[in-house]
Amino acid sequence: MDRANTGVSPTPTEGNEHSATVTVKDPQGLHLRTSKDVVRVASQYQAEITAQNLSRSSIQVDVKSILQLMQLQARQGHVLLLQAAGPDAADALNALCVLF
Amino acid sequence: MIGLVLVSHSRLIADGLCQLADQMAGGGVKIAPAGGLTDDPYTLGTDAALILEAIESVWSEDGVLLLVDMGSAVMSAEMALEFLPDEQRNRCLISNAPLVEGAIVAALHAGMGNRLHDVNAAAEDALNARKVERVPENVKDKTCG
Repeated sequence: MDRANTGVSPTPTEGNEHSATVTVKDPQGLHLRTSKDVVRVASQYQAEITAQNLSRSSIQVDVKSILQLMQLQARQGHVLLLQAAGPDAADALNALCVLF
Repeated sequence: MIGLVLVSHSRLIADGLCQLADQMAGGGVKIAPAGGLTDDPYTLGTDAALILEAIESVWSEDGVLLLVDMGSAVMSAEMALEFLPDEQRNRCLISNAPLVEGAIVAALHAGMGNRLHDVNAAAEDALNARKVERVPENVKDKTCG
């Protein structure tokens, strides 16, 4: 089980930067309706937040953009790396991790 | 909060897209379809009077963003805007975004309370969003030797 998905504090990397990995649980993958919620939640934070689909070796995308989130093409079981930088980075990741 | 008008040659597309956009907005955003012709809804076409009616139904002081499919949809939208008084017309914008993707993005951002030009900018990003990664044929030929 992926610890980060349960909302365990994301790992601080450097200063105000934090990262966490999440596994997509939804059988339909990361679809439009879930992505909408991710954008809504992420947009409440100042931090710059990116996601990368490690299972596809995707590029890093901005999680505040639904167009870019869709480009992750994340299916159930895929592992995403979330990285956040900014004063509220840790809170942002905690709020986001539970959505996937 | 801005309003949205979805203009398509097809009544079915405009109505269906309206349903999709409503879900993305999470309520609170006024979104109106303007598809087909007034007299004969299921004949393909666009109609300035129908678009005007849609603009008025979602009118907000914050502005109205119009998403259109192509061709005469743009002309009919422009005609509809010409019927509006200056102060209303100046708060309307016809987007360059592709209709479906643009409506999804615009509804989401309008629902977050973003301003007219910011909502449009997010929607127009869809012009550059790739759906699949594909190596162009000319590059593929070279790499395959």
